[in-house]
Amino acid sequence: MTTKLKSASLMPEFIVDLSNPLVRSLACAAIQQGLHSILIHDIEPAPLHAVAELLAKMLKIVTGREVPCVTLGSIENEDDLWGNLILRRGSDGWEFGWHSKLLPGEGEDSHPRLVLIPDLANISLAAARACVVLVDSELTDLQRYGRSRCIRTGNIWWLAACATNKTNTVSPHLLDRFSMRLHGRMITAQDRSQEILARFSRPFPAIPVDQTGLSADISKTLSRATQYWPEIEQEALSQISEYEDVSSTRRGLALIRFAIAAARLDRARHVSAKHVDIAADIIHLKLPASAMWDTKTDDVDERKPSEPPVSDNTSNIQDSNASNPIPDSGVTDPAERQASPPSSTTESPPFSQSVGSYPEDDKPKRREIDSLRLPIRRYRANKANRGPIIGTEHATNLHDPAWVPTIVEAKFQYIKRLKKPHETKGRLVISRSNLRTYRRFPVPEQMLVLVLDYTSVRKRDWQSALLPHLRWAYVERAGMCLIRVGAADDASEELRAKRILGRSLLVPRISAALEAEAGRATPLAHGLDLALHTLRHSLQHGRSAAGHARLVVMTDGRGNVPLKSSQLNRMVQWPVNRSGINDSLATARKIRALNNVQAVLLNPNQRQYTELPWELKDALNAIYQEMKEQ
Amino acid sequence: MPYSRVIGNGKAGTREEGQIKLALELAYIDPHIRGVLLSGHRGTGKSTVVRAFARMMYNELPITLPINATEDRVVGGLDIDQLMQNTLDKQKGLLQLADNKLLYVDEINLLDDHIVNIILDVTSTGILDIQREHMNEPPVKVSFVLIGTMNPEEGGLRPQLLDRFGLMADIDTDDAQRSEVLWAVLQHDTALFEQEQGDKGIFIEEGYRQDRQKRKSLMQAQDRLHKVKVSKEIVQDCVTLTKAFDIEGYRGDYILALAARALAAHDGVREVTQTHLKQMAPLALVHRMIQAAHSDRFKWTKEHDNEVEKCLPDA
Repeated sequence: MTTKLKSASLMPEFIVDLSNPLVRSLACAAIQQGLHSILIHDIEPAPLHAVAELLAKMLKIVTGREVPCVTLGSIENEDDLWGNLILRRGSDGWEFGWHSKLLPGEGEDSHPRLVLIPDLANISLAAARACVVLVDSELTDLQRYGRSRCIRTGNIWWLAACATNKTNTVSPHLLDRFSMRLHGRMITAQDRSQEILARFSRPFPAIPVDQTGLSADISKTLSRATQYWPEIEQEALSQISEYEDVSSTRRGLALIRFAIAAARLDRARHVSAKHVDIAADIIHLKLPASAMWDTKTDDVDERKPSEPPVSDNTSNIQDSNASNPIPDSGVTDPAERQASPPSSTTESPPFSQSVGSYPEDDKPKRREIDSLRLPIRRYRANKANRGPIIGTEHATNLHDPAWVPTIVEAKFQYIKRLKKPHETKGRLVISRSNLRTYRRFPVPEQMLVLVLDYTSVRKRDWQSALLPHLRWAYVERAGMCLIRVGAADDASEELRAKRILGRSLLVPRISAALEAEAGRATPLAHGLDLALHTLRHSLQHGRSAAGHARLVVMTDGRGNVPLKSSQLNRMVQWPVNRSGINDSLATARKIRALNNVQAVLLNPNQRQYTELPWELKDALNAIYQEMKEQ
Repeated sequence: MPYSRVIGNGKAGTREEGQIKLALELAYIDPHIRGVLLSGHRGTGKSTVVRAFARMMYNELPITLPINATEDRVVGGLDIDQLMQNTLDKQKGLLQLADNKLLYVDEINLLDDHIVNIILDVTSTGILDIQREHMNEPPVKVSFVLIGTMNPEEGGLRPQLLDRFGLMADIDTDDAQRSEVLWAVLQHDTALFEQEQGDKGIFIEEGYRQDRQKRKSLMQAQDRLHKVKVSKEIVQDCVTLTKAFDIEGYRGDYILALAARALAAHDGVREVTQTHLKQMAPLALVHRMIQAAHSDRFKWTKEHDNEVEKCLPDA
């Protein structure tokens, strides 16, 4: 899917000039290996598409090829993304072909492409898994439906958007793949109110203006930069360690590569610590005290991001449509600009340092607010082709086709050709009766995880409290996980909780295990830890991942077995004090960070330590329900 | 990047330094060790070092089982393109292609359960049985070194799969090493650019020269492996260690002995000593401890080192 610009009246304009930090960042991403993945925080869809078009135009200059743009959303599955055999109508009838949304075709590894992700927090699980493997990678393997290829993926550029307040709902593994972090504010770094006032004073343009045309100067700068490589000074590397936000090798690498790219654009002889500071400032890293913001050197082309570029051509500030009688908003005479610099001064960094490049570092991990919101496709209507294959059957449509069985079914080719030689013209003949589809093991899309603390429910009507949840699991055909904590008949391993899995509520061992007498120990921390692993595995791993889970914890919070003791199946700490309870709360907080989990705490409302269930409820961010006495 | 240019991870000057590389090299020297699991946070060079190692030793990239793999590519099936030309041609699956080589699984903890079950079956029995989609093949013996990488933040592995890996290296880059790593990567970037311009990329060429020397030394180590002596006392020490750490199953002590012997061969020494056991204990035992089965991230600590010291007083 290609993207188009909207009309000029809806477009937020930005100056297409290398003095604009956003444009400069995109230019760096276009020329520098290792910076092909860009994540922009807090940007609206319209400017995001404009940024994508601008990047595509830059890539065309750098690579010499048209760059198609592919958009990822929340509904793609593995077959869409990685590829599948499809039947499509060709010039001479139907033909088999391979279709992949993300990967280049055979022999097209060197062809660049741009993948646009409008909302990184809302992509499908299949897309997230694909991005973890592909983004910022040089090579990837494709092993799918008979296709076996090693593909160079270094020519794929990635442009994603994510709201700052949603970064803590995205896997940090995925976020970390994006080497360049920008912010939507960079689009309107100029004085926006002046721009708007200026627009009111101009007549409405009759023809939409192409806001993302590249000037000859930008094109020339990009072309020259690809042929140039500066020397890297050791002090530049040392300067990276001054930045607190740059806590990993990957981030450090991204920062130094950004500095190198900026130096290449400027044709500076050396990459120095100053380049690192300028790059860090563009992406809003917190500057250390040692930042060489004001230091001048003879070697470096001393432009700060907000100042106009110094070049032989003093008119390079105008974009390619400068001949249009209505000047683009925000474009001013260079002399005027130097006389009245933007709100950023030459003495301090031009952008606010209040929001860093890596917001996920500061925010506590939490679930999505609307964790119960169904995705675009409702579960029951979704013909998910996810379960393992257990056979084939006659197909009535082309959903989830089993190609090998289909083709083998059409084995009597020779005979069919003999009967209708002119019609078949030597082609494979597949008739409707040959079509086969896979029969797959049904995969529950919902899951109920019960953590039942039998030591806390004496004289309580816990069965009635549990009934609505069991009813829900039955109606939804949910997968079941029962975790027994402190059950008397698990006495041989009384320091550990016990987990029982079942495909549904109707599995006999689930119903048989629900009832139990109370034991002596309460390994609540271990029970919650088992629940955490079960939820994570069922929601995030593999193709057969459930879409949503409900966790019901029935306890008074008085876990008296530390987690380590449960893991080793012996007491390692004496006295225990609060360690069992603290371990339970710590594990509950990890569960809270999972997406698509609804937690419910059933409080037996015992008389002692009445605050503990509330602490656990807060740690889980659970819905609270109380039990009645028998 | 050439293997010799990849910086070994782990805190400089400590036991952990160079653990990934050592684990891969030992698994090559003695394939009976079976496999290596590399666990570490994002951006720690896990995939880079595995690919570089395979290029060095086998002159090609490793056979890779990606997370997009379908069952027909894992186990094998009929070649669909040939089938459409009316020709029955079989297409070997990845497990068969990896016979006597490396099988590399990136992000192994994200793999589909069904595919994991297939790998478990084949690694435990050594037999690949293809009975699917009109194929009825006689069982084939396959043997490969399984290399897996994972980010523990995304969840752990099933205990049965953990046990398939002979050695596990936990990767952690410290601040001092980070600069070294950055410098190496930037030098590699510069050399690549030079090569694109038609110049020699000295950093890369010198790296490949060192790789050739390393390859020769590892092949020599493999040749002398079976001449390394393993005494009864050393075997008893292996049993003692696994008992001290409550290791479940019977593979732990055996793998520890194999790894120590491979290390002795790697170092050019004729007999395995307690020092070799001490060095191998973390790699061979950390993922077999009971906590590993019940936790996502399990690290070898100073307490574990002290326990090893108690069991191996002469080391």
